[in-house]
Amino acid sequence: MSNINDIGSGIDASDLRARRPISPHLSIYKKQISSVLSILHRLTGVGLFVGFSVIAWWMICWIFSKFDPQIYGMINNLIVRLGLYVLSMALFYHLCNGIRHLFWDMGYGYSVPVMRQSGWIVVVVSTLVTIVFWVVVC
Amino acid sequence: MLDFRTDLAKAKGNGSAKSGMHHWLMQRITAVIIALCVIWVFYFVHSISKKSPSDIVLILQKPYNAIPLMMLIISSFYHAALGMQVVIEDYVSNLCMRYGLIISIKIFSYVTILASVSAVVYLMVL
Repeated sequence: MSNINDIGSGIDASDLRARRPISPHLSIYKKQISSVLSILHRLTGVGLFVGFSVIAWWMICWIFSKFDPQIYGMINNLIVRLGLYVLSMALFYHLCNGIRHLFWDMGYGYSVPVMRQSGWIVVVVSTLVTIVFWVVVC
Repeated sequence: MLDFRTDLAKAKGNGSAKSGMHHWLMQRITAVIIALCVIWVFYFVHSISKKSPSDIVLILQKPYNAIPLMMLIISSFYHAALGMQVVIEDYVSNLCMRYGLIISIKIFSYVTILASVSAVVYLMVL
């Protein structure tokens, strides 16, 4: 980009303001492990907030309705099941990547090759943990 | 000391609200609590799997399940409110909408914490 002071010359200021680039410019970048995992961390974070809010209010309704079997029975619904699978995947991804973030906060793992490696470790480990959760734990 | 403030920020003269460090730190503290609670979640989900609803209530009444559950609810919804605030601050540029959303999400999160914890306490005194 040229000098910031030259941009406004000859162009209407309000027009310029309207066309000002807005972050994030997701579409113009080549997908990389770093950027994809970063946006997935946010996406899963928002998804977990929505998903666990639904689960929390579902359980609150179940408990305060004196354990209405109809409310509890919703767990057998196919869409609810699918939602739980997706939510668990999001949870374990966000958890693993969150631990990666904590290492960064402590000052470790900043070099590019290590960052890429830890990213792939997060992908593999979170997938494995999701499988173990549903096959072994549940 | 490097000066990271932009000319515009200096001209506006709003300064720092001095709340950023607390936000950052609480996000990390709650993250560690949640990560530790997930270990309990594995044990808990295993103990309630394939159990009848009445058995699940009995398991939930145990203090070693009820207390980690309440810790998890409080720290995760607090963590979520902080995280949602960051996401909204980044993507919602209209200030009215931005602060409306942040305040709504915070109120919703705190009400959810309150209702969930009361539900667990209700179970324990049942």
